[in-house]
Amino acid sequence: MKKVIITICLILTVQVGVPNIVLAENPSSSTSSAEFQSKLRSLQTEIASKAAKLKQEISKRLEDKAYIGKITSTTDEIITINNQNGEEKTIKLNEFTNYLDIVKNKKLSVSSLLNSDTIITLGDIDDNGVLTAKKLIKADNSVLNNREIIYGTVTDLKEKKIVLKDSNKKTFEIVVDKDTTFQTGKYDARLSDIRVNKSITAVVTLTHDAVYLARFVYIFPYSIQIKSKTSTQSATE
Amino acid sequence: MNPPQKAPLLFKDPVTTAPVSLTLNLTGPDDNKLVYEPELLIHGQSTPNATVLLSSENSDEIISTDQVGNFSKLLKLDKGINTIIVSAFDTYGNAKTEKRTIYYSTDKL
Repeated sequence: MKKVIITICLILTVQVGVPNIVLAENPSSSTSSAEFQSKLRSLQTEIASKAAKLKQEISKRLEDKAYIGKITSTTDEIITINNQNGEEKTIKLNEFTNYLDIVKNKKLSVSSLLNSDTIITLGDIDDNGVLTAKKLIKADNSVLNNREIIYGTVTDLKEKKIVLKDSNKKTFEIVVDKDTTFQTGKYDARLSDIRVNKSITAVVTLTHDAVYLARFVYIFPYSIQIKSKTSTQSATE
Repeated sequence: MNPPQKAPLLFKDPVTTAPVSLTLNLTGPDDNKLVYEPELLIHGQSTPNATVLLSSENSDEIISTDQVGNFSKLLKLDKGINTIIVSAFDTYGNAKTEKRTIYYSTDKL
């Protein structure tokens, strides 16, 4: 935001500075002076229009934001949360904030909010990323995402379980069920199309039993190549 | 008598080109966005002809980037929180992932 303000100031400085330079280079001739004035006016209009457009784009990026996460601290006017990316976000409350508890489906009092409660806050943010909440919703912890993407080479296949290893040699066990969909290329596929040493990627969620359940599995038409550390040159005599 | 001199070795360019590093840049939408429309355009850039997985609350789709690495897709949103995960893959086992949290509301603030 500061960079933008500096840019706008520089543009406006040019707008003021150019007339002086131009008049110094062309001191005589009233005709050319009038032409220059006309050109300068259109330049000023163009610059003002671009500055206004820039300001509008910036405003748009600051409006209509949603901060979602678990509360880490609260006061009467400020709440901090950790969002799904582990980032700390600050929310400001005021007399216009509407509160709702969708778990109990009733209005909420701020004093009832506790650390580790999951909240959804909607509003606009300022230059420092602080969101002024127009609406604060207390939600169930289950609304937070636990979906992940796993990518690796299949090392073992059991009845409803796929074992794979990723590029960091970490092993994952993925379970499939009747709702799991499979695809290879542009076509639907099945569990039986998966082979050891094939590369797959899976959209998984971690269940309460600490098991990765796959919602979707994509079978790549290739196996992962291991990068060689030395390069070779071909030579002809 | 001097032994016959060997002709100098001539090195030509490697037969295979160097692998391009996997990249992923999600240019839209912005993170932590509140929207009022049920569809949202996801767009970005990765390496050319890469495989990209787009995972939203209600769908998982595989698309390919074009010859310069661009991709875009219109995704349907669920009411409320939508976590969108975009992953690009190369053939060396590498994956790059970006996430966006979007809140779809039918009521304007």
